[in-house]
Amino acid sequence: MATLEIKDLHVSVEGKEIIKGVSIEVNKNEVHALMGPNGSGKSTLSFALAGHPKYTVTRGSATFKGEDLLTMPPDERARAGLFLAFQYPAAVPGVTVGNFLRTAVNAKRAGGAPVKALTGKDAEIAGKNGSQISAREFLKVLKENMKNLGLKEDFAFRYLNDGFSGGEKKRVEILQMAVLKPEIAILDETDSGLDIDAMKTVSDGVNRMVGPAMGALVITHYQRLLNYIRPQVVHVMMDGRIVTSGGPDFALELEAKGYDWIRQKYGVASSAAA
Amino acid sequence: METAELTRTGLNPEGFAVFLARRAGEPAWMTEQRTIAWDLFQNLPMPTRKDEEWRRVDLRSIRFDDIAPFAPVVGARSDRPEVLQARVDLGPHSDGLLIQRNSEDIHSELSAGLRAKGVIWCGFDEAVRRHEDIVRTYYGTVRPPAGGKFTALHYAFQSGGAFLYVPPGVQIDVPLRNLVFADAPGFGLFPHTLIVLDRGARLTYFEERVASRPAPGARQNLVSSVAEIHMKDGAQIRFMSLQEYDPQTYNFSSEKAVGGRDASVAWLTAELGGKLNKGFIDCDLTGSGGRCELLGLYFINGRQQSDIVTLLTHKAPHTEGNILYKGVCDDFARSGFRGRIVVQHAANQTQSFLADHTMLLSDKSRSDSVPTLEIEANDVVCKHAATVGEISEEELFYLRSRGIPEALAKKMIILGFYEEVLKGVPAAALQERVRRALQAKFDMRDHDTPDIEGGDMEWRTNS
Repeated sequence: MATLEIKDLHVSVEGKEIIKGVSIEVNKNEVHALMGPNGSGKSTLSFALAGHPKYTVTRGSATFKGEDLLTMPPDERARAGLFLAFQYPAAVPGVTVGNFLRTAVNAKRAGGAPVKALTGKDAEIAGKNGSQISAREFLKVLKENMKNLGLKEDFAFRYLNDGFSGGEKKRVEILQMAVLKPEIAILDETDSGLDIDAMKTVSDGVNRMVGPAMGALVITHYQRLLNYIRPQVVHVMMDGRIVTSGGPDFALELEAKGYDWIRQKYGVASSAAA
Repeated sequence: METAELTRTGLNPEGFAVFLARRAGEPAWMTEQRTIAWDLFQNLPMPTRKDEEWRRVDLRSIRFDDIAPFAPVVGARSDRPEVLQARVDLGPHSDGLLIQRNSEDIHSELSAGLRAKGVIWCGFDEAVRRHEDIVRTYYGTVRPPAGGKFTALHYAFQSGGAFLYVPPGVQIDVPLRNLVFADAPGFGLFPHTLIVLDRGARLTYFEERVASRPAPGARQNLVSSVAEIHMKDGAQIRFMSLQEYDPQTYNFSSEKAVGGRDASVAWLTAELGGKLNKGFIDCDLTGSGGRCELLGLYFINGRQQSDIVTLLTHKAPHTEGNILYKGVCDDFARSGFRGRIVVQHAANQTQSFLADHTMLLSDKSRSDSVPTLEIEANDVVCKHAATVGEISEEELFYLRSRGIPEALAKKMIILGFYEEVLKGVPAAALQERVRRALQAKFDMRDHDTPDIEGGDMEWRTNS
């Protein structure tokens, strides 16, 4: 059984079907790329898997480590080990990166049992079951990961994504992934808005994690990210379906030839953009 | 004997007569002031919804005859009930502490260092006895008794409060702390805060007002407090107040700071308790270079109501002002905010901003905002903004997508919402104290049964 197993998934947004039957399996130690033109449903798939309330699964199944993913609330999916790096992460004013992330780590350790929100200096939280991360231990982990991603230490005290540049937001998404250590990470257009240096830093961050402990589904528009994060499989999504898949070099072919030939070959209407 | 008699009387002519008899040792000018104020109170009409500044407030349910004009300490003054001691222990660490229990001062201390520098800090009633001249000079000058019906009531029954004088150039960076704790059923409290900052003086001040939670069906309580803050040229104040009265208390406050040349005000009022909070909070910038941050936050639930009127007046050129209020309403709570900035003719090269933001957590909570800018000068930058919203779905989903359970994610967003306001008073210990109070209120709110029997209350709005 695959770690993440999606079968014939159909997803609607406000009554409109966007995903029209997607099946995909991602295991630890694997990188899958999901490519396709704008509006093909790539981001919808990632939001549906993360459990966004606006996205309704109308048919099909998704399991994570054998458990039904679709019946879990979004926070339970995350605690189970699924991570979504957002294309446009929300800003949360007044909540610092450090307190937010430490609360998330503790929530994961507590397995959904109540934990205290960490705000201000209120950092000496022991936790009921003694499994909570101490402030000192957490800060050490955080600093090390921030350094790896080229983030200055003061990011720990900045409000989450509030006033961050596009590149900073992406780095902070990867920072969260590094600290939370998911088993499957979905990276939604993590390359968009990044210059080459930033893309390299972010890719290094992902590559450090992919292995026996983590697999990744990398959603991207362009092939260039895949020069840095090498996928084993490349899927092409159009009009809510995966129309074809190929090996690592398939991405290069797509870059050279575009998507039109696939449209023609598989009979996908070009007005699929939504 | 007299005290027992007082607790049985109300805010009525009999109560006033008994009260006045009990204050027999006071200076004649004080007695006269009380008599004038009592006449004013009786002659001024009760504000109604037709009055612009009271249009959202219903005062008809106040039973004046049931509220004691003076609430004595039960037992020895040195006895501190556990709740009071726990409150004292919460901090912040201070360089001076005044504790008032009900209407009486029970503790007064000031560090030797500040005493040596000539700082005067004591309960207001003691100040009338020991520092009569300076009190008389300033008392009732920026918030006169004729300011309104409840202000008049305050001056008639004033007892307790705090007096502070800071000499020229003296800087107080470890806060002075004034704690008013009420645990008498049916209390009426009328504390007066008078602060005089001489030239270049600097003050950090924390005021907390709290009442122990009464049994269900307890008597109504009423507070009418006045604060007057006089700031000479170059004086600076960082003032934070925290109000956590019980849900049986009607709380009226009338507060004003007047700042001279280059005076600097950072003033935050945090309202978490009370049945009704009706606050008038003003600041005048009378000299060039004056600055004022007039800040407020509230977090109300059940059937609590908060209604704030603020006025920031720029009277001199080169002044800077900022009014920022943030509030959260849950259950059937209702808030009103009327913010006004006036830039007078002489106040050129002034900039001033007015904003209030409210978050509603329930379908039945309400919020109204009336921002007003009155600009008589030509060369000014003045803006206002007001929003009413709910918890952002996208923020909530984002936090949940990292494994944080929904209730905790909401709490983080709500507490985060206040941070901008808290940061406006640059005193970390005070920020942290109010932050903890907000957390406590949030946690208590989950376990409290809000007073919602009787179904949806009908809010009459004229707006």
